[in-house]
Amino acid sequence: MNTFWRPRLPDGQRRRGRFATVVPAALLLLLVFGVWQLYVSVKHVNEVILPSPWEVLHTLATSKQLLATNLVVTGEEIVLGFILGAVAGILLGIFITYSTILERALLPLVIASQVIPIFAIAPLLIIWFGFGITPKVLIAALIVFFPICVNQVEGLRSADEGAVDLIRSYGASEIKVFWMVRMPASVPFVLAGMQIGVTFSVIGAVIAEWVGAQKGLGALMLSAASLSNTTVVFAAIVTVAVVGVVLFALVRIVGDLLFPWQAKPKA
Amino acid sequence: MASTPSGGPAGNSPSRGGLRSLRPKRREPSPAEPAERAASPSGARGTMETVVIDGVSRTFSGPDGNIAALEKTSIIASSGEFVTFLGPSGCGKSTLFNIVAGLLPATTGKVYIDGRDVTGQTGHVSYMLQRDLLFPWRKVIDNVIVGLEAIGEPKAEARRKARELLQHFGLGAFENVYPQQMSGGMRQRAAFIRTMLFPRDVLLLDEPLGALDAQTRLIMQEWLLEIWSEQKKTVLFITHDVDEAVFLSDRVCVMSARPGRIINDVKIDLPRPRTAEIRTSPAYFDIRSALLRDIHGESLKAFNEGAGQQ
Repeated sequence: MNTFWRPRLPDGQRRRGRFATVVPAALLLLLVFGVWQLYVSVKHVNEVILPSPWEVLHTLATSKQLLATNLVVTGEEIVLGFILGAVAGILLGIFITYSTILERALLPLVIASQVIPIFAIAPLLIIWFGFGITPKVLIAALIVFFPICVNQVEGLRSADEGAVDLIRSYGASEIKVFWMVRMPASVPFVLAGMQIGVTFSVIGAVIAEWVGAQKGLGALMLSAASLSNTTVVFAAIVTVAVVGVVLFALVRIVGDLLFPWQAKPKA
Repeated sequence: MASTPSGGPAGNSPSRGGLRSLRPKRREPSPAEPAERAASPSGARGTMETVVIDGVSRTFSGPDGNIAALEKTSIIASSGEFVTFLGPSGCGKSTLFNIVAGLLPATTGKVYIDGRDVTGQTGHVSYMLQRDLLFPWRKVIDNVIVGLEAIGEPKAEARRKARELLQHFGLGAFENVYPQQMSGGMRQRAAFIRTMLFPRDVLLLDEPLGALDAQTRLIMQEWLLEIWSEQKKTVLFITHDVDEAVFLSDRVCVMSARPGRIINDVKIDLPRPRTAEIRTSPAYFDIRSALLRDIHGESLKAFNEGAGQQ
């Protein structure tokens, strides 16, 4: 229970609280691994069907080199896809908010792009852009931009109309109103959208690799699976999961550093 | 120069000789008003007409036709005068202020500031809205400079001025604090300093103390008067608190229930500087009682109307 780990901490001790929030997750994870290990040992499950957590951990250590080289490839796709998607989402969000015509023109396309399964689009992008990094980045960006775009629109609209009036009363232009009120007001929204977006970016990059790639954690999963090397598949999955969690936290931490005023002590 | 407002309470406008009316206007002195006129002893025409509200009205179109929020209102405030609009809630006081600030178009009428027609134009007054509207993403010092920033003043220069003012008015220690870390009274002070820092001679203060508890409010009234007497600005003030109106103002315009119009324009003849003691003087009590009678009738009307609509 969160309240148990974070009882009435004074401001200065917030850091200690942050570690305390990690403890329940770690305990749960240990519990799951424990049950898993027990099941595999007692039932003597074949390693090809389900390797034990210990074996996965062992592979993570022995295949460090293999995982690291593939991680670098996928990581690049994830990060570039996230940046491209975030920039596109923010810009589209601004356009949609400020222009009714653009809203009417763009919104159906934006929604359509999310309704069509990524598996249907991915092969097309590979046909158009080849087997290099470009289609992977585009696919990741395509699913990253949506939550960020929606939150950008919502954030700009959330600005206090009284604050807008105040700035206008000084004789300020709408551009000033945008930079002084609407954009800052949208920051917490966009950050929340980015946290969702960065996890989507991980999914997008891995899926894109499944459709056509020689390198990357997604490609590694496929090739290992075709060789019935289930342990490596698991090692790749764990790596991807860790990357997702780390990036999710990283967006929040960087956001709180850049915009400390919106940082909340987690309840 | 503005034409004489139609049917306005111009005649009631007091000529307050002495220091305040001698204040030089800082912005665009009109050639029609040479300095000696300001010192001339007679009537409203002789004082410096800083704010002229001439037949301003506002109707909103609603689902059941037009609703008058503000009937034709005219008023003249001289330079350095503290004029309060006193009325029940929903009497169109804020509508009037939004029109003067240029945020809301007037259905009829004109607004002149320092003799210039500024109807529908923003940027000519320093407006303090009901809530403090401090930006949570800016520290206090960067909050109080938003007005200067909005008109393109360089940040460093704006901060220098802000620092001076904050220190002068006892908020120096809060410079680098975020507003969400401050009490309501402190936030309101910061919002007021923001209003003072915007370089305009006319302040519109829309119930600036409305959200404060009674004790803080009394202290803030004194603080506000202190600053006003130092800064020599023309203040238009909104409140529904009779005591606040009497304590602060040179003149109180009592407004009717919706549609709003000025039903009485009362000069508050209490000596300045005013301190807390004045609140218990007989003169204060007489003015207060008279105003209370006026406002009570209007509040009752507003109340009954509200009841009748349900």
